Amino acid sequence: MINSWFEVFIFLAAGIYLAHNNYWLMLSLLLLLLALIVLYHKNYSRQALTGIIVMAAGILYFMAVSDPVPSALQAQGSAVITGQILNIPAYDGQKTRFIMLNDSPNDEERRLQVSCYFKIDLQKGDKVQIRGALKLPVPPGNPGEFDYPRYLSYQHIYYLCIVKNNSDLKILSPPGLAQKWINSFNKDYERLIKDVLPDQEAAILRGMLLGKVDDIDPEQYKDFQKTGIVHVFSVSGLHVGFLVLLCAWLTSLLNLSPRYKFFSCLILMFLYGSLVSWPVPVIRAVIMAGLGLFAHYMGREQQLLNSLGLAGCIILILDPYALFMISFQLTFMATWGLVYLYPLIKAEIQYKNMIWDLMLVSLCAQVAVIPLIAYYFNLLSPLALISNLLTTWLSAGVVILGFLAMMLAGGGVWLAIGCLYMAGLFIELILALNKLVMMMPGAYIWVATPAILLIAAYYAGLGLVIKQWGSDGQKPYLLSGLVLISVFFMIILLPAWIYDRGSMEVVMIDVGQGDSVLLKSPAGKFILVDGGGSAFFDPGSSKVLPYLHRRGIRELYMIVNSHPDLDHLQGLEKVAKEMPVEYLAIPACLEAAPEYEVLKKLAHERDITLLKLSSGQQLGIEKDWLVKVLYPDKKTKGENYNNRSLVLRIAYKDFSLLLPGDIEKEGLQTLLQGKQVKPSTIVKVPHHGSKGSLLPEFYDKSKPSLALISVGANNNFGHPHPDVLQSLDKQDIKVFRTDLDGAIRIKSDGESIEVLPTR
Amino acid sequence: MLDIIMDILFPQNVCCICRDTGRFGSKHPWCEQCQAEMKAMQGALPICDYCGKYLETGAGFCHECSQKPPQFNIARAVGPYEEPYRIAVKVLKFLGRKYLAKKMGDMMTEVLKNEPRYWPIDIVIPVPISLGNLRQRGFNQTELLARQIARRLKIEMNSDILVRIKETPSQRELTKEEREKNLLCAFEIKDNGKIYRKNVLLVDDVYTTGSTIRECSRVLLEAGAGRVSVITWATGKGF
Repeated sequence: MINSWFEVFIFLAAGIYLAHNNYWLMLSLLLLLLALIVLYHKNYSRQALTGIIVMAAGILYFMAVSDPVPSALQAQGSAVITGQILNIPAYDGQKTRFIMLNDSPNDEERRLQVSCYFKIDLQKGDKVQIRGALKLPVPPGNPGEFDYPRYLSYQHIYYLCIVKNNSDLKILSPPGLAQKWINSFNKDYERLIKDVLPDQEAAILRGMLLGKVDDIDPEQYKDFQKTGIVHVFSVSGLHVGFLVLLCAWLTSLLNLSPRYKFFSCLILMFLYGSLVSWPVPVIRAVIMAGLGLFAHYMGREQQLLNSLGLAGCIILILDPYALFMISFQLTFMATWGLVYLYPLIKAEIQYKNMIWDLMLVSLCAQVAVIPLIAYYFNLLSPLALISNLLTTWLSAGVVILGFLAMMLAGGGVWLAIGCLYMAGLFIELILALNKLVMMMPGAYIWVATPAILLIAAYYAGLGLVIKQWGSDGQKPYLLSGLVLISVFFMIILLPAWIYDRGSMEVVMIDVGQGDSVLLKSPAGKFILVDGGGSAFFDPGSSKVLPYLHRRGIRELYMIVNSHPDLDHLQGLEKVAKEMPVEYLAIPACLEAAPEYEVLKKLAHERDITLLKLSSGQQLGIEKDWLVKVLYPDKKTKGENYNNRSLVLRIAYKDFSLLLPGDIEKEGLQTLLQGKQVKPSTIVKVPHHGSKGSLLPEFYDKSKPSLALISVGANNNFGHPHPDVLQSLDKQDIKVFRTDLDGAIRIKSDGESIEVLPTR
Repeated sequence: MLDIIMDILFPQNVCCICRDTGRFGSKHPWCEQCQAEMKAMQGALPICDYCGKYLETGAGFCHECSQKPPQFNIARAVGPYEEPYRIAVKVLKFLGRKYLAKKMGDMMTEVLKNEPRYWPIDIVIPVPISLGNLRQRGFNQTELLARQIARRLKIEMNSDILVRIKETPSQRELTKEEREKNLLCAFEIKDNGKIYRKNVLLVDDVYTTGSTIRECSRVLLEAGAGRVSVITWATGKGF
C-alpha cells in the first residue's frame, strides 16, 4: 500500500520527466536500481516496489496521453476562425492577448494564442469570430533563451494568430451565466481598486490579489524578482490559506456545524479559483486545502506533505505537461520547503524568538527553490531572507484587506474603500522596503544557468543533509551533502572569464532587427559592440542582458556603439544601467549626437570612462589581442549616421574579425581608398545586408571565409537584400544569419575557428 | 469501504498514541508496543465487581459500591483511564480522529464477549453528550463507539431514546457531590416502549466517578428498562 503520496508524486514526476525527454538509458538504470533495492534492501523494498510500479504507470500514461509536437507546420495566411476565449484576456500596452479554443478539424489549430494589435474589451468565455494570420511561434534565437514554441506546445498550442484590425474581431455571444457573473464581479472589483488607489498601488494590488501582473511596470516587477519577493504576485497557497481561515472564522462566528464549515470553505475556494481563472499554484493550493478540510471533516490525520503529493499527482494526471511549467515547479518546491523542511529544522533548533521563526519559514522556502530561480531567472538573492521577513507579512495583510474589501464591495462600499486604503498603505511599505533592500550591496547576484545535473546535485546534497540532520551520533553523509551544495553554489557563482581562457570568442547575439556583438578576449574581458534596439520591444532587457546573465557575465570591460541609430544604441542604455561597465566607446565624430545624451548621463552617473574613437587608434587591451579603429576619423561628416559608423578590426594571432557597423557604399569606398581593409577571417556584413552597403570590392579586399548577418526575421526593410546574398555566394563566402541560425558563436584559439549557430 | 479509501488517501505514518513511525490505518491505528502496553494493563489490578473500577487490593467492591450498590447490573471497561488508554480517547474526542472508534469499539466488544454477566443484551444506547460539544465536534464519540459495538454484536443501536434535556456545565472541575447535583434531571427517555423490559447496554467513553452512568441508569430503569449494563473504554481507579 501507499506509504506517502509525496513519494508517489516524486516517482510519477520522474517517470514523466524521463519519458518526455526520452532519457531511456537513465530510466532503465533507475528502474534497475529500484529493482535491486526491492531485492536486497529490506527496509526500503516496499517503497522501491511502489516506485517501480508508479514510474512504469507514469511512463505508460504519459505515452498514452501525450501528443507529439506536430512537425512541418506551415504558417498560413488570413483565415476566419470562430471560437471561445479560454483565459482572461490581458492587454500589455500594444496587444490584447488570449487563448482561443475553436472547432477546427485540424488538431494543431484547435487552440490558438491570439494577439490582437489593438485594445479591446474582451472577457473570458466570450465567443468570438476573428480574421487573422496563423503564424508559427519563433524558436529561441539565443542559447538558453525561453523556448516559446515549446512553452505553448505544453498547452497544446502550436499557432499564433495575429489580428491586425479592430474590424477583424467580432464578439458573437457573451459567456455563460456563471462566467458572466464572475467576470462582472471581477470587473466591478477592479474598477473599485482603480478608483480608490493610485495607479502603481492599484496595479500591484491587482497583481497580488488576482494574479494579473500585466499592469505592473516591468521594471518594478524585475526589482521584485531581484530581491526575491516576486512570489507575492503568485496567487497561491497564501491566498487560499487566508481565504480558508477567513471562512473558518466567519462560520465559527455563525456557529455552523463542521459539515457546513467544510462546504462553505469549499465553495468559497472554488469561487476564488474561478475568479483568478485557476492558475496552477491555485489548483495546487485548493486541492491541498480541500484535502486538509476533507481529512479534518472525515476525522483523519492529514500530513501536509502527503496532501502536497496527492495534489501533485492529481494535477499531473489531469495534465502531465504541467510538470514542465515554471509555476508548477516553483509552487511545489516552495511548498515542499514550507511543509517539510520547516518543521524538520524547527524541531532541531530550540528557540523561542518569533523573528527567528519568520526567518526560518522564509529560509526554508528559499532553500527549496534556489536552483529553480537560478535556472529560470539567473538570480540568487541572498537578502531575500531579510526582504521576505517583513514583505511576506505585509503582503499577507494586503491579501486579507483585499479579500475583506472584495466581500464588502457588495454591501458596505465605504468599508471596502477603507480596507483598500489600508492595503494601499501596506503596498507603499512593501515598495519602500524593496527599494531599501535593493540599495544594499549583494542584495542580488546574477548567476550562470546551472546545468540540470548541477541542480540534481544540489537537491541530492540537500536530501543527504536532511537525512543526517536529525540522526544522532555518526553523520557520515552530512559532509558529502554539504560538499554537493557548495559545489552548486561555487559553479553558479564562478565568473564568466574562468571559462575558455586562451581563446577568443565572438557572439552575434540575436536581437531581431539590429546589431549586437559580444567579444571575449583570450583573458576573459568582455566587450559588447552595440546592443540592438527596436520600437516594439527592448532587446536590451529581453535579449542581450538575459544572454549575458545566463553566461554568468556580471560585468563588461567595454561597451561600444558603432553609431547612434536606435537598433544599435537602445540596448546599450539598458546594459549600462544594469551592469558595471568600465569603458564606453563612441565614434568621436558623432560625439555630439543628441541620441547619446542618455548614455552619456548614465556613464557619468555610473563612473564609466568615455572613449571617443577615431581612425588610426588602436586599443591594446591585451597582448596579442588588438582592437583597431579603421574608420571614421574625427572630422568625418555625412548626411546619415550610417556612413559615420565605427569600423573595427579585432585581431588575435591569425584570427581576425571586421565589424563595419552600418557603413554604406560611400563609407566603404573611403575605407578602401585609405587601404584600410586587410584580409579578415570573418566579416560582419554592413548594415544588415542592405543593398546600399553592397560593394564587392570590399569583400575582394577583406577575403573573409565567413560572413555574419544580423537581421530580424521578416523585417520591413527587406534585409538582407538578395543581391548581397548572391554576391557573397559568388565570392564563395559562407553566410550565417541571425534570423535563420539564431545567435552565432565563434570561438578561436588564434589559429582554427569553431562556429556554433544556435539553431 | 470508505475506510479503505481514506486509508489510501491519507496514509497514517505515525502511531496515533506514541507518534512512533510505521504504517498504520483504520485497522491498526496504533503500534504494537502501545497495543502490548494496553494488554498488559488489563489484568494487572483487581477490579470492583460492580462498577469495574480498579482497586488497590483485592477487596471485591470499591468504597462507593460497598456503601451504596449501583442500580446497574454490571460495568466494565477495557482498561484504566491512564496512558495509553487516556491518549486514545483524547485523540478520538479532541482531535476528532473518528476512525479510532472502530478499533476501540472492537476492543470493547471483546470485553463484552468474555463476560457472561452482560448477556443477554437487547439494545445498545450511547450516553448523550452536551449539545455544545456535539456542535463543536460535529459528532458524539460515545455514539461512534456504540455503533461499532452494535455492528459487531449485530444488535440494534439507538441514540434517540436517551437524550440530554439540560445543558450541564463541564463535569471536569467538579467534585462528586457537585457532579450528581449538576446532572439531576439532565436526561430523559424519549420512547419508553423501545426499552420496556429490555436488557439495555449503556455505552460511554470514560467512567470516572460514575455520576453520569448512575444517573442514566436511574432514568432508564425508571422508564421501564429491564436491566442496564454498562461498558466503557476506560475507567478510573477506586482508590
